[in-house]
Amino acid sequence: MIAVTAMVLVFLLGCALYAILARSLLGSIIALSAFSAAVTVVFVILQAPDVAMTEAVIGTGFVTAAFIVTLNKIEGI
Amino acid sequence: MGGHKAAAALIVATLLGIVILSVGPPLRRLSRPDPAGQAEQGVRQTGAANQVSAILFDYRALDTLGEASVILTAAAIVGFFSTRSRITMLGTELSVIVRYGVGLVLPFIVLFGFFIILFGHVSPGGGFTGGVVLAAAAIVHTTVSSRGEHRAQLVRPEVGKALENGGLLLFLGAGLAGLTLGGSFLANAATGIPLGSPGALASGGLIPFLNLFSGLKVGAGLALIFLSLSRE
Repeated sequence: MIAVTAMVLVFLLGCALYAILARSLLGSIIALSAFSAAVTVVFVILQAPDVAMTEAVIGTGFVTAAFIVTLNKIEGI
Repeated sequence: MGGHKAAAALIVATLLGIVILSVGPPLRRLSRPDPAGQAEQGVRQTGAANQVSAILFDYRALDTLGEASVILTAAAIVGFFSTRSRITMLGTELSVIVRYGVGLVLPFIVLFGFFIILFGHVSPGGGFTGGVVLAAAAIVHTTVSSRGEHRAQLVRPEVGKALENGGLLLFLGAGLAGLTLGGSFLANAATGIPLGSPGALASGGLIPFLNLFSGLKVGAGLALIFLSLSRE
């Protein structure tokens, strides 16, 4: 269990760093989405299924969609 | 430039790690499994097996009402500023597989959203989460079902606005029912509503209704925000 948690946390850190350092904004958005997915796993490990579901739906779904539409509107894609 | 940003990010991550590691042990002391039996007491008082929903829609229902009105305000303002009526998006050429695959999956997404809403007081989930799932269904449908610049919509904007306003008004109406029957705004058990046996679908008194109202409201609100954004 500790190994899984450590792997997820390292993945989390990698996603966060990539979201900051990526050259393309689209890459940053996708890294943020992957970050939310990993945070969902962390919430499940911490036994908070309600927060995990909300994070999965909002962080991975809605925020990504809103960011991508905004990027589309400013002709970044 | 890149080196500076990387160094700054590493410093911030290190500081955050130190903070989290120093906060961890006290938090672990806090998370002992419920010595006073508060969870059982909450189940007895509200009839909802999922205590997170009980807190959101019974003990702290006023806070939930505040959050719901924040989303309503945001949707109203975004809709106010986006005046164009046609939805246009650049460079969205989707393959046949994506278009027809989404059509196959969409009913199940909507079903899952309603499942999360209606079983919010029994299992993890609730009005907000299920509402966002419904909004995601509308978003996916809008994004995928495009022919050039004309886009089909899962729910017409007028219906969405009616759902959003009606959901909030029904939420307020349920609160006023508590005021007239039970003495306090958004009262649940004090109104005399049968609580049912915890774990059954018909349990929790007012909580499933509040879940449904806020779910419809949040789903319609977020879908409208997305539609307004993609219209601008």
